[in-house]
Parts: sequence; C-alpha cells; structure tokens
Amino acid sequence: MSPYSLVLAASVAALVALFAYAATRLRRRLAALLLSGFLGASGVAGAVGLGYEEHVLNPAWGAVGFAAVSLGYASVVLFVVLFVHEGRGRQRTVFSVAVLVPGLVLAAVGGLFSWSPADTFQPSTDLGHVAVNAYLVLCLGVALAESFIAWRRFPARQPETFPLILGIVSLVIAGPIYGFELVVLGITSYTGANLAAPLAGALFIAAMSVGNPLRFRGRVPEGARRVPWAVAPGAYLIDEPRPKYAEALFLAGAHETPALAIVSDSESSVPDLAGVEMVRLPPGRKCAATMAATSSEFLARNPNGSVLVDDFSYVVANSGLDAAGGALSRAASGVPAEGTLVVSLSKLTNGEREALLRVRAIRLAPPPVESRLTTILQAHLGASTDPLARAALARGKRIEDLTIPDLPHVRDYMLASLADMRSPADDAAQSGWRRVSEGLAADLETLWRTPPTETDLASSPPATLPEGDVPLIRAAEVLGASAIPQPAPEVPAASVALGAAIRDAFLGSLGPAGEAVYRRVLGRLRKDAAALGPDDLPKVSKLADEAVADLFSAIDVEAAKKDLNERTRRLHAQLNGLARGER
Amino acid sequence: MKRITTGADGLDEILGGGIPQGSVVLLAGAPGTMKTSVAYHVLNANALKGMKGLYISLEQSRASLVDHVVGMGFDPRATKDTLSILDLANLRKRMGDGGSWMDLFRMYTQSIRAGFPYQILVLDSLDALELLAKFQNYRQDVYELFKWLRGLGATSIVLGELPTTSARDAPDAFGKHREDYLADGIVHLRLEKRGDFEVKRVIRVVKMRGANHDTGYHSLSFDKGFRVTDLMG
Repeated sequence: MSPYSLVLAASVAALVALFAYAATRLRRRLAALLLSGFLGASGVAGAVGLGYEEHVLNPAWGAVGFAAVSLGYASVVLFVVLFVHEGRGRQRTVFSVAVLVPGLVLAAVGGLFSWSPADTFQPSTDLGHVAVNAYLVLCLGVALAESFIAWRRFPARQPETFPLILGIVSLVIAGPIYGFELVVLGITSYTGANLAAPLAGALFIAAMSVGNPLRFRGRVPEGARRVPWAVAPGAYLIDEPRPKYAEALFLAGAHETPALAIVSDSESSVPDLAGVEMVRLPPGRKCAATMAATSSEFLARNPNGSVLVDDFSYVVANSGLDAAGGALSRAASGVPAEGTLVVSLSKLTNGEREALLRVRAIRLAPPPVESRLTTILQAHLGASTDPLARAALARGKRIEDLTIPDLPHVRDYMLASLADMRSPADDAAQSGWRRVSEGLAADLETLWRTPPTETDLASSPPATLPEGDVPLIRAAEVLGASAIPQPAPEVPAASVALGAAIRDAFLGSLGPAGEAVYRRVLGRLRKDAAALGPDDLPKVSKLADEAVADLFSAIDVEAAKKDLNERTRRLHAQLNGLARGER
Repeated sequence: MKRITTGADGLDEILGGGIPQGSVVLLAGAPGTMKTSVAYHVLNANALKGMKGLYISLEQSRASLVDHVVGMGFDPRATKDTLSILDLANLRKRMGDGGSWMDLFRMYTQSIRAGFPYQILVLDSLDALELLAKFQNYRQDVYELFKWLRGLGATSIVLGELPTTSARDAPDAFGKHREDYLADGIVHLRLEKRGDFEVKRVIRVVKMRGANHDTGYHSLSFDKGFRVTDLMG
C-alpha cells in the first residue's frame, strides 16, 4: 500500500467516525443532516480514490466519486448558510434548490461523460471542466464569505464562526489550491479527494457543539394548568418583575401543542409549569447559544409549539449581554408562523432591558398581578389587603406570589368569604351583597380571562363598580391616584377604535359567539386588537370567511344554514362598511 | 298535554304515554348502557314520521356517529331531511377548547331552528358541554341551560354520564352536580348483572313531570329496535 493510500485510508476512517458522531450526537437535525451529508460524501470520494490507488475499483466508479465530490461541496455551503442564518422556510428552500440543482446536474453530466474526482480543479478550457470548477469554487467561496461576514458582524458568535472559517479555509487549501498546484507540478494522480475533509468536519462539529441544543422530547403538556387566553403566535418579551405573565402566556399557547420550558440550572421546580416538559440550561459561556439553538430546534421540529425562556437574566449573567441579545434575536427570528416564543425579562436591569429593544418581538409590560388584584378588591370591598392575604394563604402563598392560574381560586375564595359574611336574615342587605359579589366576580373574571396582549382591555380599570347606594371606598381614595397602575403601553386611539369596531361587527352579526370567532381571527392574524389597521380588514374578512366556513361545517342539513348565512352576510356588510371608513 | 313517542316498543307505556312535549329529559347512564342509541332511536322514530330532530354531538364526530347508528341498523338516508346531526366535535378540533362554547352552542341551537324547526333536540352530552363551556357555578349554569332549552320550545333529551355502579345498587343521584333536580324528567339506564355471566340492560323512568309513569326497572333489549319488557318477563 502506497503512502497516499494510507493517507486516504486514514482519512476515510476518520470521516466514518465523524459521520457517526455527527449523526448521533448533534441535535440540530437539519444542520447535522447536511454535515453528515458532507462527511458521508467526502468518505465516498476518499474510498473511491483509495479503490483507484489500490486498483480494486474499475474506472466506472469514477462517476460515483465525482457525484460525491459535487454533492459534498453543495452540502458544505448549505450547512454553513443554514448554521449561520437559521433561515426561515421559504428562503431556505429557495437557496437549497439554487445550490442543489446545479450540483445534481453536474453529478448527472459527470456520470454521462465518465468524469472522476481527478477531473475536479483541473486548469482546463473545456466547458464542462470550467463549469465543475466554477461550481465547486463558488460553493466554497459562498461558504467562506458567509462565515467570515458572520464572524465580523456577530462578535458574540465568534466561538462558533471561527471554527467554520478554519474548516472552509482548510477545504480551500486542500481543494482548489492543492489541485491547481499539483497540476502545475505535473502530478495529477493525487487530485480529487479533499484530504482536509476530516479536519474540516472536526472543526464544523466543534462549531456545532458550541450551541448544541439540549435534549428534549417535544411532548404536549400533561395536566398543566390552563389559562383561557387566545394568544396569537409570535415572539413575546415580557417585561415584569417576576415571570408570572410570561408563564401564563406560555401556558395559554401551550394547550394541546408541544411545549418546552427552558429554565435555569439552579431552578428546582416551577409549580405553575407542572406537567410541562422542562430543560435546564447549564451554566457557562455557551448558555446563550444553547438557549437559542434549543428554542430554534424545538420550534423547527414542532412548528406550532411553544417555548418559554423563564429566566433570561440567567442567560445574560452567563454569556454576557451581547451574546445573550444576539441569541435572543436569532431565537425570535426563527419562530415559525404558528409557533410561540415567550421570554421573561424579569430581574434584568433597565440598561439591559433597553439593550434588548432591538430584538424584533412583541414587547409587553403588564402591571403586577398582585397590584391589580389589590386595586379590584379595594374598589369593591373598600377593605385592606387582609382578604387577599387570606386568599393567598389558602393557596399556601404570599400575596406577591399569586400568579395568573391562582386567580380562579382567589375569586372562589373571595366569593365564599362574602357569602359567609352575609347574615341569612339580613334581607335588606341582600341586594347590596349580591351587587358587590357580582361586581367583584366580574372584575376578577375579566382579569383572569384578559391576556396582556389586549392592552385596551388589560389596562382598563375595574369595569363594573357597585352602584352608589352601596357604601364603598374607591381605590383612588385609599391609594391615591398615583398608586393605581396606569395603562402601560399607549396605542393609537384610532387603532383601538377600529379593533373595537371589528369586534362589534362580529358580536353584532354572530351574537355572543362572535367573540370566539373574533379571537380566533386575531390569533390567525397574529395581531392584537389594538394593532389592527384599515389594511388588515381584507385579511380579517378572509379569515372570518374561513372561521365561518368551519361553523358551517358542523351543520349537515342545508335548510339549517339559512340563519347562519344571513348572519355571515351581515358580518361582511359591517366589515365592508368599516373598510369604507364607516364607524 | 301532547307527548312525543319514543318509538321503542313498551317504553311509551312505562312513560305514561310518551315524553311530554317541551320538557327537558335527562337520560343518564354509565358507559355501555346505550344512551346514544336510545336517544338517536327517539329522534329517528319521529324523523321517519316527519318530525324534525337535531342531534348535537360534542365528542363523537358525525362520521363516527353515522357509522355507529348504521351498525345498529338505522338508515340515516331515510331521515336526511328531518334528522340533522350538529357535529360540534369536529368544530372543537378546529376552534380548540378555548372560547365561549356556551355562546356557540346557543347560537347554533337558535340559528338552526330558524331554517330547520326541530321539535326534538338531543344533547350528547351534558358532561362534555360542562367541560367545554367551563361551567363555574354548575347548578346555576345548568339551570340557565335547561331554561334556554325549554325556551326553544323543543323537547330536549340531555345525555348525562354516570359512573359505573356495582350491581343492584341504585345511584344516589342521576347527575354529578344534582342536575336531576332541574330536569323535567329522568330516565336511568343501567347494566344489571345476572348470575356470574349475564349482564342485562335495564331502564327506569325515575321522574317525568306531567306523566303518570311507572317507576320500576324494566328490561331493555335491542333487536332491530328497542324493546322494553318486564324484568321478570
């Protein structure tokens, strides 16, 4: 066996080992598949070269080796671009087709003309060889440029992009440069297989290991707490002192779809997330990259799934603000159309929060649950926080620990307490008690059922205060106007009015059932009521059609659809009127 | 008082002539007691005579229900203009469990009535509606529901799920939350163990406002139609 054969044999053995590692240990499925494709193709090209050297294979195998080289280089550029950009579906598909089709064509033409790996990187004026060289060099060139740009643009990702650059440079040296050099020296027999493929493969694996996703199963929550919010898919950043709304928003979106909570390594348990699959981020510099990779990979495998990052301050503390911000941007941009990512910004400093403003996501800053509860109780009962403290104690908590899923229990406790307080013989007071109870129940119900995304509803004060004949102390008298939580984000009045008008159109035509249809349309539109503009009306109308078609599908007798037809006609007439500016 | 026939041989007799028109009847039983089949039988028997009926299914899809009743020997084609199945089970898959299901339920029952004036309504089941509509104050919510059903003017048969009880034990209640007090009538279906190997279906009219009904248990059998006979027979 010649020294070159020994080198080729060692290269093939190393590629097989790396292939096995990449296929089994790397958890970013698509990137790992492409990397495995590169390693496998390089292994085949090396094995064909070895077969030639040892005169075991006949020349017909040359076409197989050539095809392996073409597709191997295609895999490299696809791997690098996917790894760097984690692109969305359409762009990724277009780019993949643009790279793969010429590679497949060249592989087929190579088969027809019996090209072998030795035909690559040959200085020739033959059109076929020029096309082959151009394609292979272009693959490496694009891969090198993309990784270099990413290295320059995202300093926080340099631990990932630097091995990429090294790997591609090694392929360039051992590919086109080495090939042309050998021809210049008059040695043509050692061209073809890229001997740097194992080194490049190892460097690519090292790059992927920096942000290898955590292991998850992707299961639907079992017995998790329910939050009755219709939440549009998307990426949400929740600015709050403790991750209460973030967890509730996540639970609302996680109903009957796969869900994953990413928590810090130090988190022992999160009671509100019982029944939800949970992974723990290990401490260290890789924390941000692991968080982003885990979120993106989970949503790539479960496009309608939900991910919660319960404590983003842990990521910032471990990886630094730049790396954490970059990772968050990548995770947010990788959320598919039907997926949801919820990130809690609790425990971050104001400076850190401001630094995250560039992240493209829906940002919410709901007032604390306990302050809203206190306001409602004081408005209706005019009492101190004692009843609330007792209600919290019944849940084994302090007031400040009460979360959204606790609200129905608080409401039940408060209503039961009110019922106990009323004397059965006190008939004169009964109507007052009933009004207080009903008002309190209604406001607690509104608080429980209103998601923080519905800013116009969420920030409004208690809706139904008891009437004047019931003695009460209003919240403003107890707290002072400044202590009452003010509406957090401001939204244009026109948008709110249009959102409300659209809702009225649904309710006006479909009755109370219109609320369910309206919320479904908002969910599909991925917008809040306050964000609706005139441009959205055609989409609202189209989505309303789809929702109404679903309503029709439940009915089997044509005559039974008559009234629903009429309601739908009314809905369209009202939506058309809104489009014409009639409100 | 006008009465709705059940179409089951012998059942009208123990009901005191049939189900009083406009009443809300709770058809309660454990799994396997043929609640669905009995309810569909009543609809089918009346639909064949031209009386329109609506079957609202919250858990079983239309296709599955049709398969079920065809397997029992019913012919849905014969009643295609007079018996409608409202498939809320399928809608539930599309709309999810969030949202106002009680409002949707009301919209459907009211809307359908405008073009398809049904005189008998079957709700399968009260327990599924409770879950979907997230009843908070059960007694009050069921009271409102039954009031709504009476307001429709149709005769309503509401299916209620009971846990499997040990043989011969009469249940303490015919509804999980004492909805038996709110219904105008209660028909209880039960599996009765006889000896070591035989299990018989039995039926009892527990309550039927406005009817002089038989209160004892009777044997319920099915062979190309339901038949109610004395247990001793």
